[in-house]
Amino acid sequence: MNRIIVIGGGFSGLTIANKLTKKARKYDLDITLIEPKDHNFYEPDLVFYAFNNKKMSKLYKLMHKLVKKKVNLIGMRAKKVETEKKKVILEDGTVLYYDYLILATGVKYIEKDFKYSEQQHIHNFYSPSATEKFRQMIKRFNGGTIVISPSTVPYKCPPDSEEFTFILDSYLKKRKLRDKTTIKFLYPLSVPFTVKEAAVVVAEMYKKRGIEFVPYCNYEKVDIKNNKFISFEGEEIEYDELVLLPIHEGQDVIKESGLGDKEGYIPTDKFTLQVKGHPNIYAIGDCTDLLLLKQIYYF
Amino acid sequence: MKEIKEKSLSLIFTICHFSSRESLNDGCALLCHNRGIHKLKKMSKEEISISIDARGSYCPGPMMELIKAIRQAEVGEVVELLSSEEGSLSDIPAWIEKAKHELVAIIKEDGYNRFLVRKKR
Repeated sequence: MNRIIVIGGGFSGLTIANKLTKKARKYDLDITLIEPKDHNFYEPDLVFYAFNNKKMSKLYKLMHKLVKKKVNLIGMRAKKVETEKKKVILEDGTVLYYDYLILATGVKYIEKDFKYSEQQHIHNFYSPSATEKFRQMIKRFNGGTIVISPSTVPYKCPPDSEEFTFILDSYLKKRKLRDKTTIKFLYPLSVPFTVKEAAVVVAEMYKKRGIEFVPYCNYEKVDIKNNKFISFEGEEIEYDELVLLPIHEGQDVIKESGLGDKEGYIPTDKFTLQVKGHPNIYAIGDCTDLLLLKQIYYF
Repeated sequence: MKEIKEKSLSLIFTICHFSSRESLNDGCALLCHNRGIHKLKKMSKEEISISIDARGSYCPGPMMELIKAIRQAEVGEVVELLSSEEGSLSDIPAWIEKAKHELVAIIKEDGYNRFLVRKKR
């Protein structure tokens, strides 16, 4: 029997565990999925939910309903991987042995300099609570300067900051607040998107819609007292409301196991998804160090 | 002489403290230029504090790697970046200018470019 352990029940882990069941009989596979949460949350829709009144409970699905019967679902956190002994240690000390390991651990958001929940004028739309906070703000918003920026690169979904900006522009037009609002889009590159062909289109649309684009602008810190975004390049940009995508990092289990780089991303072969230096370990999704191939539903 | 000239022509400098761009067509200057390149290559290897091999990475990989390294470096240190991505030739100098660091050199190697950047602030 070939024991396959998948760590992480997000889109990547869930998809791969379920897909493997089709080959289970042929290759005599025993598939285990380790995911501590009892639900899967459909994050890509949060960018739309930031501007509507729909209940976010619609975005939750119970894990056991999503996982196929042939997959052994374990509702615990993986604490450490010992690659030499081919074992995964769970948070309660349980040890699971594998022949093949698939890492789909995603990323975590870190709040280094401030807590979003404590800052009235700093927002993001990467979690239900942050999205709810933005919703409340935008309902009360009566005009001013809204600044949108990533904080680290890579981040989960490169197009969502642009998507958010366009939706914000339309939303403000509907509420007849666009003339009273300056929208600034800050980006680390010379153009407002990673893929050049698309970047040209986005830049044109920004110009047409009066969205100010600030190129080569990498987040350094926020002067919370004076409502200023300060870039690594030394620029100071004032805001009334700041939409700052959270800082991303690899998960603790990856760092603990010595499988990641400094930020906890896993060095991965971009063609085979094999973890470099580990022939029986594969990584998929946000947890890899691949810059463009990781966004599962966009690229 | 002809061989040296050909070798010199194969190396393209955009900014280099040891080169004179005005005299690229002059044979004598080419000799000096070539010496400058070797001098720079030798010197830079000793001076480089952080070296990043971003060959094979697509946009924005190389530039993000450079920014990450500049964050880690101390003021005055030189960061070396190897990039085979075409866009780096325009993006990286523009970013360095905005961020007020110093582009020491861009050296064309076989199939990639070597960027040397000094952290200035």
